[in-house]
Amino acid sequence: MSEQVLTTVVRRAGGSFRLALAGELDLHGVDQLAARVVEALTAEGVDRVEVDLSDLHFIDSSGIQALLRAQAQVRKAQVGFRVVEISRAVERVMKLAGLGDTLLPADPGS
Amino acid sequence: MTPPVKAGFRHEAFFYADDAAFLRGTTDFVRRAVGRGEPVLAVLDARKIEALRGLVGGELVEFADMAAVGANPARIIPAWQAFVDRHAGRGRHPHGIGEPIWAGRSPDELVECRQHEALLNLAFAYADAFTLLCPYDTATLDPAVLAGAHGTHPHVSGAPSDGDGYDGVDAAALLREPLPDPPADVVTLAFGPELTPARHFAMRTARALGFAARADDLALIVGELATNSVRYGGGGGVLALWRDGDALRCEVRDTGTIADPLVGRRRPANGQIGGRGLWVVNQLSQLVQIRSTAKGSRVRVLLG
Repeated sequence: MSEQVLTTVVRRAGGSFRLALAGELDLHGVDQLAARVVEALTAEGVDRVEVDLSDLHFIDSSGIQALLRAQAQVRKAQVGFRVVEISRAVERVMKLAGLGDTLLPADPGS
Repeated sequence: MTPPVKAGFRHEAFFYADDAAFLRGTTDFVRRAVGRGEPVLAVLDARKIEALRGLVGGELVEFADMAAVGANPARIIPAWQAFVDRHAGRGRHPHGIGEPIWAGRSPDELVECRQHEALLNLAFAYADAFTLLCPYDTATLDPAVLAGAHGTHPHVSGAPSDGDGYDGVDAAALLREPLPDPPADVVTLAFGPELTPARHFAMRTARALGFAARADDLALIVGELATNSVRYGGGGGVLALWRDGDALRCEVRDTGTIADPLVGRRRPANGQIGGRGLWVVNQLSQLVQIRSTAKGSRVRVLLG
């Protein structure tokens, strides 16, 4: 794909694998996110994956699907998964998509 | 053991000629249900809710505004499904009154409302128990609309009107109805497999046509439709955008086939992966028209 619309940055701190997504998450970002999940699950000493969506300004249902898959895969490996920051635009799409609170941070802004 | 006999889905058109007949028929319906301890949800316009609320009530009776629930008729089935699900498994027999069709609906809306009425028979074909009464105003609705109600409702009551009997559900036929051609001056963009250009084109065009406030929504809609084209519609398609009076229309054409006439009308389950694209489009749009033949598919969206 010619245009890079999604960037992913990883920051490790203790058992935390913090994954910051920036830009746009659509069908073409799905593989990149999946690769980061594999990276998290194969790295040493990761006990939780924290996904930071504060700089993600666009998501669609393919992106939401990718996040749901990531959550399922990470939790299946007995590793924690949570979305820790979210932009207003992304939160709106998640609600429209009928997600309820499935992927929303438990304590917004924390 | 033989399973208990299921009441199944009863879908009835109720023709009325004036307010008095409407109130007589609907209060009877509500009182009979409530008398048996069954829950009722009435989805009507605000004026009718007000009138009916004065005659029936209690904790078994709920009301919802059809203008909010059913502005886009594709959002009505999920609302009924939620009501039915809330009472399913508790041995209850939910009763609904729903009037999605009124004289102020545009011709396009009336076509989709008829589609909606037909799809109810498919959506609830396997319901344990659900009785739905659909009032039709014979004084103001076009005779063709009333004839259409005969075709979509296995049961008809109230004032007589002309019409052939129930059509049954030919799910495939519902998707084959033609759409009027778009005007000649539409702007188009061929896309695929990249999605960003289509989304950005949609945003620019929305602003240029005077719909800046809806640019983000249009981008999301176009992105969802284009994603379906890329994944299932031959890898790409053609996007067309045009202004229609005070509204914006958007259409995506591709060479794929849409086989499920209920697509976009089932609320995604918690944790469900996939199947959310047309659901999202329905939540954002006033009207969504899905058509599909062997030659390809088109999805046309109206954004107010």
